[in-house]
Amino acid sequence: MRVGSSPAPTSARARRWRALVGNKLHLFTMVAALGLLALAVFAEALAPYGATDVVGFAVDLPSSEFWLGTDEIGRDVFSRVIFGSRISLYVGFGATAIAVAFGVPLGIASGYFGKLVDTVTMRVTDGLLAFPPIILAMATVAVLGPNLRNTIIAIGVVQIPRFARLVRGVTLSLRSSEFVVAARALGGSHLYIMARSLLPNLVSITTVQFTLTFATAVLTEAALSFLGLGVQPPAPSWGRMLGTGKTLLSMNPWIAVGAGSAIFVTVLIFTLLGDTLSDLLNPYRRKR
Amino acid sequence: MRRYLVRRVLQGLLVMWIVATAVFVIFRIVPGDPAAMTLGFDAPPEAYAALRAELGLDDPLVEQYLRWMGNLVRGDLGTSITHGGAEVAGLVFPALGRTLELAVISIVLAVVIAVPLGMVAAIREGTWMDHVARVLATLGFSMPTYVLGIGLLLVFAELIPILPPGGYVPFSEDPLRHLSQLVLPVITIGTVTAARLTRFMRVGMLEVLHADYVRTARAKGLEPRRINYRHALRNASIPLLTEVGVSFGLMVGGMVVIEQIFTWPGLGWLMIQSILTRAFDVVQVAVLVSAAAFVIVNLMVDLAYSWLDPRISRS
Repeated sequence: MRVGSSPAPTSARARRWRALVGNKLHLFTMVAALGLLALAVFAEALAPYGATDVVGFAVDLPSSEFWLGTDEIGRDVFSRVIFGSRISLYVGFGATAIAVAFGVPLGIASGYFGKLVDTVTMRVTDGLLAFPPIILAMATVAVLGPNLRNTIIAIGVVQIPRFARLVRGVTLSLRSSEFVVAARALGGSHLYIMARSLLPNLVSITTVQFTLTFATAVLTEAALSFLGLGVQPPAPSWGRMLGTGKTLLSMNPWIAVGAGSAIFVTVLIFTLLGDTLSDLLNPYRRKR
Repeated sequence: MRRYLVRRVLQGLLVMWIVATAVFVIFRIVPGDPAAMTLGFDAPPEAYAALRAELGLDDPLVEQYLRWMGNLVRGDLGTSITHGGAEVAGLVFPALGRTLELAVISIVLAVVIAVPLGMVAAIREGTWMDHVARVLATLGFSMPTYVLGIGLLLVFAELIPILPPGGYVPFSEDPLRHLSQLVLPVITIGTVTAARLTRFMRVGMLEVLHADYVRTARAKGLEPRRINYRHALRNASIPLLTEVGVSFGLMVGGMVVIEQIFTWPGLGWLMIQSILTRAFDVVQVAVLVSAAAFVIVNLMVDLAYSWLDPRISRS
């Protein structure tokens, strides 16, 4: 498809492509997100050393050999920062997938059926939303035991009510629209209407929320690991490295700087990605 | 207004009941009951059985639940076996006080930064001032508090050691030291929160500045200053207030990491120490109290909101 020179809007895909290429920030965000993904996938090829290999003296300052120095037992900090992207993206993806898998059906059912189903679902989400997210995640991990799987479950569960709320709101506004009424008049079952009429209309808003939740999940994982309640050593978690880096601040500040910058950049990229997708998927959004 | 007030308070109570139930469920029904958590998973079976009996964990769940709710209603938060039988309330509430101190000062700082910045960005929409404000807000928005906290610690406690790296001395003991210990955590939380609030302030102001009544005020020939302050700021501050409330609520519960970084013995710090020392009788109350604080703050914000904008309670 020729995109650059076509005068009038041809298709939604062409319009989105033009919006993406036309806006430098959007383009940059997409490239950065892909770069981050590549970093995680090709970590073995990109990192100079293994994530858990002891390759130098303990707590050495940066050198040409170890770009960010070494950590408390002599592992290369730079390599660990690269490998850390895997854990962050893995947790981000896993936790958000849990939140979507439970939150979206719950939200659709709640908005579609209304009445008792809605009341019960919304009161339960009220209760769960009353917990500050990190506290609920901490309590869950404390009870289940700290490891990678439980970290993903804890963060995912915390985000379920947020998805349910969002999807319920949109479903409510779609419930009485013509195409839903028509589907019902044609004898469509509840399940059919929810899956075939409502769900496709929720894809764009869920996608945007997905990226924002992803950023939150990365942040929460780092916070939990920082507190010693997340991913356990020797896995290279950025949060854990930040925690170690804090205690070694006077000896090699680059441990904290490396891990901290990695968290910051990742969250920034996913926050911007949320804005980008929101612009691309909804061209009528007010640009503010 | 009174009916609205009563309804909101009842709703708040309902949420608190759900919260208390959720805490009960999390700590009783999921695998690894409080006795196992307190003793560790490799404790001798006799000790485990004895503790289960002492904690009443062998009773039917319904009975345990009713006892838990009954004690809460009476305000009895129990004693902690891991803290030598100390009153849990005596541990949790002083810690909550220290967290609130940090949260209140931080929110004031955030508002002081965000209101002028957001206003200027909106009034000068599209100019370099707007761009600078937006870039700062986006950066601050993506900056995890713990990363900024450690960064500040590195600069002001390690490289240029002008501030203490954390710790806590009561104000009554050494006011100056107490204040100096507040500086870094307050700047950390305050600036990150300010970023959130600036975005809200800017959007809120823009919304109002494009409203018909502001255009009318301009057409009437009112001075821009008067329009910005009397008409725009007042109306834009209503959504801002909600956001301040939300941020405050999040802070009360979410300062766990900051308190850990700056060794500030607040509620979050207590929670972590209790998890690490397996004091689950303290953890469950601390979780409950932080959720309660969140609910109460949200309730207060809702009430303030309806007071500022009477249309809300009428609808």
